[in-house]
Amino acid sequence: MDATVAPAITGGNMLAEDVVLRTTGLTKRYGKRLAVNGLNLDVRRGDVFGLLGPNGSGKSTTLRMVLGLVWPTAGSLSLFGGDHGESDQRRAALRRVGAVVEQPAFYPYLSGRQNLRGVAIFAGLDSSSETHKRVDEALGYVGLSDRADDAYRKYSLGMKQRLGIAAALLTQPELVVLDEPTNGLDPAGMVEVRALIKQLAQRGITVLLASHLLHEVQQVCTRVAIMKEGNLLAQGEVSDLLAAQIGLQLGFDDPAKLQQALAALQSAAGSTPWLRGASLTAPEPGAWIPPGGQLLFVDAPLDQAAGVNALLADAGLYAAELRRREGSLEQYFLALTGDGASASPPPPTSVPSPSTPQQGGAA
Amino acid sequence: MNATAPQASAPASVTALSAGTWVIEVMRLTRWELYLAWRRVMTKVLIILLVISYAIVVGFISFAIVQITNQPVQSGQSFQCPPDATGCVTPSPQEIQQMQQDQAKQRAASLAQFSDPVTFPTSLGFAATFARIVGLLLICILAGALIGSEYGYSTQRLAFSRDTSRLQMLVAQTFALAVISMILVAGMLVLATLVGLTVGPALGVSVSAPSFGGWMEIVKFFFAFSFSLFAYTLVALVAATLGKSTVAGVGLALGWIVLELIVGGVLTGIGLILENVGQNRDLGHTLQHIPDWFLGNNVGALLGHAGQYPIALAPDPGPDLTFARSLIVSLIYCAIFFGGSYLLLSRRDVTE
Ligand SMILES: Nc1ncnc2c1ncn2[C@@H]1O[C@H](COP(=O)(O)OP(=O)(O)O)[C@@H](O)[C@H]1O
Ligand SMILES: [Mg+2]
Repeated sequence: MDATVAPAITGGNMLAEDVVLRTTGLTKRYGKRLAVNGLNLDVRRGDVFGLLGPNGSGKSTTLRMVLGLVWPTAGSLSLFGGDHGESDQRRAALRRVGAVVEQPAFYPYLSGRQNLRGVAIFAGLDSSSETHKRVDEALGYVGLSDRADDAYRKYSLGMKQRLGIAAALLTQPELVVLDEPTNGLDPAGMVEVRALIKQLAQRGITVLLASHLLHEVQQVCTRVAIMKEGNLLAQGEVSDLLAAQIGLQLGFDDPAKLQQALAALQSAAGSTPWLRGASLTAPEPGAWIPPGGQLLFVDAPLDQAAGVNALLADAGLYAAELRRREGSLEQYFLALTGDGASASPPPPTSVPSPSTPQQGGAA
Repeated sequence: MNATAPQASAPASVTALSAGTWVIEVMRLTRWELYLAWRRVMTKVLIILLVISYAIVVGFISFAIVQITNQPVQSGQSFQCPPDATGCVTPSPQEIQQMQQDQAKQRAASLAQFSDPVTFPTSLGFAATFARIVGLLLICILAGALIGSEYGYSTQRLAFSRDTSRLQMLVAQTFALAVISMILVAGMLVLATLVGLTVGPALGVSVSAPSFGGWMEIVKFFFAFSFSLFAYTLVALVAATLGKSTVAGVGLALGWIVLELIVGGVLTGIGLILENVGQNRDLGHTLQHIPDWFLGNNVGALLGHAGQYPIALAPDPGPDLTFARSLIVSLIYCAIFFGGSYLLLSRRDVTE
């Protein structure tokens, strides 16, 4: 499990070809501003890898370094086993990558079709009829066949995004890099794009996706790295992160009782095998907020609700509310970044980056 | 893993790219850049401007020719004194004949001055003089827009996030600018040939076909003329790359042209004054020769060397700017512009 952040030096126990992208201490400074700080990422073949973080956390900068658009200040990056610092190896690796970087950019005075033919030239394809066929297929795949001959400047934002995706898929890449792919789309467009990402994954294409939308990442990604202010806060399987969020949640009418319950459960944890721990947590948005504003999170299997009740009753404590909590990245993220009113410590499966100051933890 | 997953492949280094592929890719990119230039509305507007302004100049010249040819030769009568004039000596018939001959010579000289620009093959030389002012401004605008708009449209990342290298892109852009310069010059020369074969003869000037040597001069002239424009498109290239915008590319290139003209004129003027009226003759001489290091003077000298004999399409560049020296100086300028663009582009982060 911890192999997920095995540094490149030890190589972990993965085969080299299973790692599509590995960054080691990847750092980017723009002048004095540290945009990305010592990032260690591993994207494996078949992952739908989510780079998650608020605006300005360094996601786009990271993707641009992967794509050879921005030169790292320090650290190294290996794509398909090639050294990104070597021009030939970088170019050979980029042949296997398709990308949409932030807002799609094309020549406004050319049609969608002509733009894709240009992309084909940039990707080293000839201008044979086979390439033209590929262009038309890509246009069809994103549903732009009807508008293929309209000038790009006349496209709606959604059509521009789709043309970007068509460009990314043009060369039948093994890795698709998408930066905020649903930005500016209406809800239906978002659903479409997410379905498309899942289709890519089913075809065995590795996807590296940056997004600030927690639920989007939760819906489509298999693995996630959480970034904030250039730092990697955690990296792991989405299912593991969610599993750590599952537990029981109790509310008390009296903050003093809450503290007593916390102490009682923490002391019981040592002698009760199924009870893994207890901590204070913030209610999720929209939920009932008890006096004092905090809830008690009990890390225990969901079917032990009665057991928790019994333990509390032994101490003469009675909860005003007891609820099952399903996992959500949002909870996890708030806990990790300390943005919640009070945060539970990061679950054990989280793998904080050694180089980052831990911002989460109990307040 | 997924059954349809692509085969795990060997490290990227195995698929290193061959030199042949590199060149073929650059050729494709060059064609693409030319296509981009052609598809821009601006290109068509600039071509129309060039043709119209040339037509206007040719029109003025034709008008002047017509004026000169229609001037009546003074009759013998007009040389006679008015009846009541005192101190007036009526010229003898021989004197009148002499005056009429002088007048005809003068008229022929001024006619030649105006008819050369519209008579083949000297019309080619005039077309160059014209295009080195108007065409130069327009081609620099086009070059600045072509390179600079890549930043405005953020389209650079399309190429650089693929396997197109920055050097390849720059070489392709440079080739494209060279081709555009040659197309413009070829177009100008064709226009000038048409004018020279129609307008001149229509106004009564006789046209003779150039000798073989004349044709060779025209070919050399074509290349020197193209180069004189191309060198300035590289100013637009480095300026647009430096300023990451069309405005920078166009503005700095036009600024360069104007600055050369002004500074060159001022230095030559002050130098002449110092040399002739002041005591400081050496300084005057030096000042006058500073513009010999300017790009415009050197490409102009190359044009002069290419267009000397037998037609004399361009003015004599004088003894100081030899062919070899002008060529070397011009090439150094081009190398600096290209190298500077490469240094800027290769180190830069593409954050547009
Ligand atoms: N070209 C640039 N020059 C200076 N600072 C930049 C540049 N691009 C991004 N940054 C800064 O780097 C940080 C990370 O930005 P970015 O990678 O775009 O974040 P995200 O994509 O996660 O929103 C931000 O603080 C941003 O202001
Ligand atoms: Mg971003």
